[in-house]
Amino acid sequence: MTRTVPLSELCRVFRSKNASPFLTTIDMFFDNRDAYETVKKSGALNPAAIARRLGISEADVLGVYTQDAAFGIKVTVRKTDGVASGDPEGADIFGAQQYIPLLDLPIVVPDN
Amino acid sequence: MDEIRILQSSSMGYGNVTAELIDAGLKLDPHVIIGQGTSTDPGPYYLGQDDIYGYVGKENKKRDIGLLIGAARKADIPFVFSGGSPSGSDAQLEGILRIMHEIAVERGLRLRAAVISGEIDKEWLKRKLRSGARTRRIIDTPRLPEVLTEEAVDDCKRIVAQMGPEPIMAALRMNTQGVVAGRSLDIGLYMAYPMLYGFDKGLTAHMAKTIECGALCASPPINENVFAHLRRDHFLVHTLGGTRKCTTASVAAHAFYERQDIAREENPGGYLDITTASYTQHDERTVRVAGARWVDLPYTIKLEGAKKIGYRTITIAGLRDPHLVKNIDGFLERSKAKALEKFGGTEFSVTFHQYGKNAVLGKVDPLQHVVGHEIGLVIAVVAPTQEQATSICAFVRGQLHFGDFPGRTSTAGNIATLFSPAEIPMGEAFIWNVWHALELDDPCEPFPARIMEFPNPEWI
Repeated sequence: MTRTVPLSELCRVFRSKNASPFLTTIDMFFDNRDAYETVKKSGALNPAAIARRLGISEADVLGVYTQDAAFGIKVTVRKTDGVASGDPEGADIFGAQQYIPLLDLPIVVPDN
Repeated sequence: MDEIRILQSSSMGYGNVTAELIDAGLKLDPHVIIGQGTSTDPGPYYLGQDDIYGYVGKENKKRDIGLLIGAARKADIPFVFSGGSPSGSDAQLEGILRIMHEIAVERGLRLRAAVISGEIDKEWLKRKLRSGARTRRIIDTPRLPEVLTEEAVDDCKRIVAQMGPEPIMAALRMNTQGVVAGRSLDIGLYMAYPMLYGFDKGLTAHMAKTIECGALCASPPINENVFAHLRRDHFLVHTLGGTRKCTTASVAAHAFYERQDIAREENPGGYLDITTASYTQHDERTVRVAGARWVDLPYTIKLEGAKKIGYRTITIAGLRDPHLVKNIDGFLERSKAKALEKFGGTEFSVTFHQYGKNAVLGKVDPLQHVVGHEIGLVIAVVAPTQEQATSICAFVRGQLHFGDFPGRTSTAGNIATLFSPAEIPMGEAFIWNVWHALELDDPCEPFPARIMEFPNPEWI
């Protein structure tokens, strides 16, 4: 049996920050190896899903990186609408709240 | 020398450096104390602006610098730090030098430091471009020209560059008590001293990357002091007190911080590859790290430039009327259109931030349809002069205060203006305009060091 949970339910750290004024990088650290492996293998964090949630094109998703030692996954994207940190239309100088659209990404987990 | 011990101590002025942790670090007999104090994260304004103590303010900067220099002099070891948070411009670096002067006067110290500017002379840069120096934008975005142009250089009020470890190594050889640098590559500050002793570049860079933000590499992460022991084939990193510990997971996780890619970090003269690194728990609060590699590439420095786009004025107001909250978007658009009509001859922008209604995430907020019962509104105007920005902002506020919308009953005023003065002039406004790599034959060419003595006789 399986059930579907929001991605945030599996994470200990869920954060975002500028990786230069033009990119946002979103880091997730998982509670344990099981949660990390489940998300890594689920394929839910794919460029198409990320792009849809962040209002960017798939080509703007520059990478989805995983690191086993830290139970961590990193997503780096171009900023939405090309608005750089400090541009007059922008509202998040440090890029610190840009992880929000990914919090509810559905993840299928074993039901136990 | 088989081991170099490094006490890390931030020079940003964030106030997380503490005397207790520094004392704990000094007991471990460090060879050098190193801190980073520059960043582009707080935005382009700080590179453009002229306040020498701008950003966190003089007192915060003075406390961190005072602890760092005090510790170095107490232990009679060199200090290396970047200063002038956050931009590392010459203007902001001068603030740090004046702080060093004050510290020397107040404590009766005689300080002698090698000082390196991180600012790039625009004429020098244009000569480089004319002589065919290769440049490329670091991020592929339409906001930046693919290769740096003289026009883009001229558009910037200031340009800084992240100096690598090489100019800092040259400054360390000048036989002073320490080095103060403007805008710098963070890890270069930590790499310079060990590189003088021929430590492996990949291992040294990984050590530097691990401790650059202090105990952000610990669990739970915080920007406090940390300590590293760099040896010929590995390094140890640990916290200096309290309940925080470095764990294999926390140290490995720090590779994520503010970086595009976990495994490959491009730096002047090469990239750091940590895919081959291993992490072992050495004791309760210490992690042993080995195995990262440095791969050489052509030498480049990263240029950062801020272009002035005018002056900004803002107004903050609360909106509570239920009819107004319901009809807000059209109402704001009509007010903006009236401003465009009234001030048609001027080039300006009006931006509304509706806190309580997708101000943070805009169209990608997953809760798009949720509307609260009140909205915190920021009106932001950028115009060619401060006076124009304030006039336009005041005009828009007037439109909002007395304008009409469906269901309006509030004929004495529609909005709750937060402050008197209603309009807040914010000074010059900037955008990032240069974010390019410049190839260099000599990593030290734009970064000569000069020796300064403190107290500085000219400032007494």
